[in-house]
Amino acid sequence: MGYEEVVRIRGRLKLGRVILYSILILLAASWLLPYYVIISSSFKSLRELSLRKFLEPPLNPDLKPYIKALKEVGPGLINSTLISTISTLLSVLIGAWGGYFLARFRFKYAVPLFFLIAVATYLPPQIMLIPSVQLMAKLNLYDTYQGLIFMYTILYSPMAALIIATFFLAIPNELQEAAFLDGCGPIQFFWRILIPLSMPGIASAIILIFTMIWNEFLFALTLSRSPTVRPVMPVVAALKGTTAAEWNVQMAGTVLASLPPLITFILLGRYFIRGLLAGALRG
Amino acid sequence: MKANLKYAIIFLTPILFVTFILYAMVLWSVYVSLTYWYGILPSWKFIGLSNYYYLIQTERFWIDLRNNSLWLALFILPTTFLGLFLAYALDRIGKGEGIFRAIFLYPTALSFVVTGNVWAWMYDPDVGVLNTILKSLGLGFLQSRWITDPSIALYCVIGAAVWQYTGFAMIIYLSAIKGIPPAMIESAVVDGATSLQILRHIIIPQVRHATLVVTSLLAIFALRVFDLIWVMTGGGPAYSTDVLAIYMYIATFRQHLVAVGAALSVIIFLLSIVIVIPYVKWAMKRWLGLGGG
Repeated sequence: MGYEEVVRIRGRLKLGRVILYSILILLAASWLLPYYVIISSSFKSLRELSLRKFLEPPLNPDLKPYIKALKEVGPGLINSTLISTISTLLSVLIGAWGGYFLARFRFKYAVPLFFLIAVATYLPPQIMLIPSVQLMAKLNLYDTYQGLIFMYTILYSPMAALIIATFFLAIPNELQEAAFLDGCGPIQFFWRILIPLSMPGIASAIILIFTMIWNEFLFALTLSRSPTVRPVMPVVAALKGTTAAEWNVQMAGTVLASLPPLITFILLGRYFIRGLLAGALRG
Repeated sequence: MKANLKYAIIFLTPILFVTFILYAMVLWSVYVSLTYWYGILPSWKFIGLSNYYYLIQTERFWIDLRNNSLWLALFILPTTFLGLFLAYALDRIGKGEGIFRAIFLYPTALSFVVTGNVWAWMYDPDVGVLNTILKSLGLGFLQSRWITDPSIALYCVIGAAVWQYTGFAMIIYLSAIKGIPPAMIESAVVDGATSLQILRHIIIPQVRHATLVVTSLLAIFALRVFDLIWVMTGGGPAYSTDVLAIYMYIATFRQHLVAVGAALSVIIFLLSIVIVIPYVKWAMKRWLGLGGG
């Protein structure tokens, strides 16, 4: 390759790069715009909002919309925190416990069982909706924390098993064989060696499933009614009706409800992505 | 490691119990769809396929089927293309990859309820963001009634879903592109291939498995989509954004035609399972080395 040839290719690459960056920056801006607008609007008074200068940051950041919004969504935030945390931990526990056996032991039904669990992960929620209402009524759990925790644990344990089993599959067999030769049983091996070794996988499962349960809407809407139980998403979905034309309050409530998963994503995005890939069965 | 029965029971009981309940619920819904349950209290009178027969005679069912089909096409195509483009672009630029990745991926961590509220305001025809920005850019002629205009409301809602899911497609593609041997691309560059040629002749064939993952999972979502529509339009105006899942909820909890709602849920289930079963079989074999199925 001659000198001129190199210069030509470099020039072409440089131009290509500039165009690429410009497109990416434009797209990134439009991806950020909607969330930026609701954050900046949530700090504006109704008066300032009526000027409709959406791209400008608030002149005098106003906390009143948040105080009002907190009155609406505050109980929901507490309910969601409790329900999502407990259901996530239960799902991950059940998932890891079963996922270990499926991933690390050879037996005749391992593959069909894995298949059934994976299919259960992708079932549309609608097919479980009517039976879940009946089940909750039968067990006297309708409109209770326990009811929602029970349903979410059932709905998300297969996903947890799938994600965690994908990580367990990557751990070399020799490790378990060596541990068993030293007289360590499967239960000890699970708690003492496998779990500590698989912390990244467990963390991915916890983060992804917590996000999914926190963000869930259909079952939250259907299986709860009273403000002391109802998770935050159905509350946020109803803000339009409960706060009339107070857009700033609606936006503040929406921001508040989106913060826990968003902060987790920003701080622990790496695990979120790994969970996402494993959950897509894309190990 | 060979399994023994004692440990199989200890380890598998909880997850099998959970999975059993899920499949029992599927069967339960199928059964309800064959009964005469209209009203608050269950009625177990078996009436065969009458509820399905009723559905195919309602206009709403066919509108919903059409809308779900539009979702399949108009949601999957742009999301997949954009995801692939972004993954390719991010892989090439080097500097700034992390920050761009986070920007396109953050909507994945949001609830559809949040996305719905955000975009309902973007689209609001009177005080909304899009119309205001268009006007200030001197593009007032592009202003529109957005989600309140029955002729375009569906596309607007799908647009919000594309915004939310593009990052997901991107991340699947990105992990596939990272798996392509760099030597393959380098030698093409040395041979004078343009970026587009590299994309067409190397990247796209090499990431075809990722394409299968992305399109399958987006299709599964497009068949069950509910929250986003519920929050943004409730299925309106005039059923223009109505889908099977919205009708299912309304039939069950508003019209109290519970058996009809169950029939709709079974239809959503059947449409999904046609994608889910081959996908899971293929994915288990391909990524996890668990053959058969």
